[in-house]
Amino acid sequence: MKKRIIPSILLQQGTQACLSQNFNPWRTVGTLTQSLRLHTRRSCDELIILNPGIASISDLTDRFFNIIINEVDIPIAYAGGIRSSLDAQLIINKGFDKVFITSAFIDDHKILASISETLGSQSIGVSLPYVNINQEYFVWDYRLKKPTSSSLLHSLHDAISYGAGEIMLHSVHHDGQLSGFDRNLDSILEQVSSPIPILLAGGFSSPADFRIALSNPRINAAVASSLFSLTEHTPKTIRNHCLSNNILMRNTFF
Amino acid sequence: MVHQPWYPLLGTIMIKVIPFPFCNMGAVQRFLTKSGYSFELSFDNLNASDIVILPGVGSFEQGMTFLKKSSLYSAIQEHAYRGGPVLGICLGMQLLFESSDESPGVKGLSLLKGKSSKIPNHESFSVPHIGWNSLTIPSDVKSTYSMFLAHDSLTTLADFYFVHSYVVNPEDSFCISSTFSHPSGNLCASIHSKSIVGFQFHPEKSGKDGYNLLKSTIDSLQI
Amino acid sequence: MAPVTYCRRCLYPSTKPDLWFKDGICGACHSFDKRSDYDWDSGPAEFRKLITENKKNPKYDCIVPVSGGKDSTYQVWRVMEQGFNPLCVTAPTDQLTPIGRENIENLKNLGCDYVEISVNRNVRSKINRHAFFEVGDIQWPEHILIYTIPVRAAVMFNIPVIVWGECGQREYGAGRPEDAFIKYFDRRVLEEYGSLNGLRVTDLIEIDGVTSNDLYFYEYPDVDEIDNLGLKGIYLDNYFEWHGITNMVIAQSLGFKVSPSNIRGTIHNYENIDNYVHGIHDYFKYLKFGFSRATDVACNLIRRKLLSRHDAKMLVSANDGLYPSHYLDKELPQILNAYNISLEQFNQVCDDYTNYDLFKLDKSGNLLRRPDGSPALVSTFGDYHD
Repeated sequence: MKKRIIPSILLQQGTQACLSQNFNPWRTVGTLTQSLRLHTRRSCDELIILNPGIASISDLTDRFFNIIINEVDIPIAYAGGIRSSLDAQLIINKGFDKVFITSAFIDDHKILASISETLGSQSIGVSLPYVNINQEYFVWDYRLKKPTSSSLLHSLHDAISYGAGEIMLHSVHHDGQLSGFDRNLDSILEQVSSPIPILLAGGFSSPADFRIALSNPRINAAVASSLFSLTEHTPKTIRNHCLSNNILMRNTFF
Repeated sequence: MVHQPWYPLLGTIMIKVIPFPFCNMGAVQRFLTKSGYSFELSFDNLNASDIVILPGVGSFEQGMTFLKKSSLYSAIQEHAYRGGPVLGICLGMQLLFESSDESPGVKGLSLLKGKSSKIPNHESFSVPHIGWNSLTIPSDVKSTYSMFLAHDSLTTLADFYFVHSYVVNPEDSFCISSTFSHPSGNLCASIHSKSIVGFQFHPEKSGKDGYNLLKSTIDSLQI
Repeated sequence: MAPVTYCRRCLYPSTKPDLWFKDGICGACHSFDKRSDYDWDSGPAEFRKLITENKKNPKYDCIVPVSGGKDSTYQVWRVMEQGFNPLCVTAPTDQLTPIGRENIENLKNLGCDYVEISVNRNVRSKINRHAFFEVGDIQWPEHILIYTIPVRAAVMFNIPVIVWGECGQREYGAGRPEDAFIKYFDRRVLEEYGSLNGLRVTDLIEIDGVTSNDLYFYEYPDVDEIDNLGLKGIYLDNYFEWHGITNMVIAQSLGFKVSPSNIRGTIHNYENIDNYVHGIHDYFKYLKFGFSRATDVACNLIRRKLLSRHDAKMLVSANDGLYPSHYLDKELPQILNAYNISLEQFNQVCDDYTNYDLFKLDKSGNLLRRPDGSPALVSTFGDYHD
């Protein structure tokens, strides 16, 4: 399968794009329009919008959805505030191709099952922020800002069996640090028997990081944000680096 | 309501887009608007030269239920029998055929013979098939993919975005205009039979390459 | 939660990129407070030591990047007053104004060697246009060239020390609090803080008619060249107390000229008078973030206790973010013409980059506009960031 480079855009206060560190919104970097234009121009493979601060989907404005529809001609996912299959349907009808859930999954796995049944597993993913405590991995609840009692591996398997089409593993410790991605996940990844696509997020700082992560057969996509705002690397320069190192990536002609 | 682009129209193509209630219409509309095509979401007067587009996300049953309820089912069939152009995308392409294992007992538009079945399981190919993939063009097909091919290759230099669990198995294999590779063999990625075209992938979500493919397809369907 | 919250002391909003807050006070105010901890008495000696120790070129002690503005005029004066021989290097602005040209000529009269490196104007215009549509920044080439050209010059003339003026992170609040204390300007600072809006040099090849041959000066020199040179880009505001208004007084006494009337969209007549596209750039700042140049200047004065927050609110409300119908003596269509941008396209791009959450809307969700045509802010500076 071809590997994917997925810039993520973290929203704060409506349509301001910002960066986070360890899951704390940290600094504004510009407007949503600008971020979307830049990323799509550079032929990234997909986009994901993260909007964890939103109280309810009904707070999303028409203007927000119009910007998405106007600017994006590649697949784009949305995460933040989705609590039901009606929420998920609304997001997809209004311009997104798929959704990710986190807190809804933590609170009640049946919400995932219901979204998966209505929209199909290809339209729903689960994002699992996680922390490493004494070599054990736990899912992290960003609302309470502390780990849950659920092991990452267990939750991963639950997400698969309740109908997720993709899983995003997001390292809280590496988030926004630009110090490299989590290299210690093999113990978890080796135990995942399903070929479900796994996306890795947190810490990507250079083209070499992407090359190493995407060379792992169990990792299908790398999700990154800070490095696109703060360094000279772009999806295009990273893709070229991966292609020249024989990693199967999307080819573009025009 | 007719959507008019605010720069000059290209020819007199009128496009009618089926407004499935549970799919992302925005992407198809964006393509049509940015490319300068006139289009409508209603079906009052279907001319033989109109191009009908079926976008699609959702299940086979959901799709057919919507078509039957809105009486678009017979309108599309008549249009196709008269030689009117039809373009199906993803689920829209699967609806053009007779049935699908996804929804046993549900009859499709049956514009073409064949049915859809689940992508075979394999440890190295996850289902749903999500992501970018290149196409291989059958060597005997004169196709609109030539712009993406190097002269000595039958595999496109551009990739397109797929997101599906089912593939079409047309009875007439000559109508297969491209395939994608799977460990069990090449699977149907698009079909073309007279004025009926179908894409299993989403050209409207495949960046500039997808837009170029759609433009050349629509222009070639113009009667 | 209000879409924008404000510093308790000045008027900087939470929407400002890279700004951090602590105890309700913004990073720029905090770093201004920290300045009283500086040992200003030993600043000049440290400055002289640094330049002397890093001298390589037998004739020139350092490079001073100059625009002819009040700050660079002061910088050249300060360097010479400390006993050094600078090479002044100019990266020309996008659309030079007559008064800007006068001030550059004035700087040449200060008694120093001067080099101007100008890039291919046709290519530059294409990049201005591209950046305008792609990231809402019509002034992008200037943002990068004012950094890369002096660094290229440093390598070319074998002069390791570049004396920059103020450290933006210190003066205006940085993304990382520790960056308010940086000593040297380097590539990381450029990529992270250069106001590049995310656009990178590697993107420019995509533009029709632009080839890699055209982009030499847009690219920061290779790591090897920088290391061999031993480049030290230092900030003058680390060694001598920096006040824009004092710089203006000194520069004026050296022949620097100000605009006969205040600049539209801000509250002064003495800076940004060298480039016609400043007004457009400032307007986009307002549309994206809800504040602009009037706020920047007012906040600088508030911190120095030269203006009260109360009075500043009045000045900013009346002047910030005005629609750039003209700038100095040129009308907007004329300024846009240089890049083949129509007024209609301009207004559409303005709308694309407007953050609707910051402005008042009518019942149909359209922006409510002030008499000059710019959108009206929802906030009245009353929501503090706590």
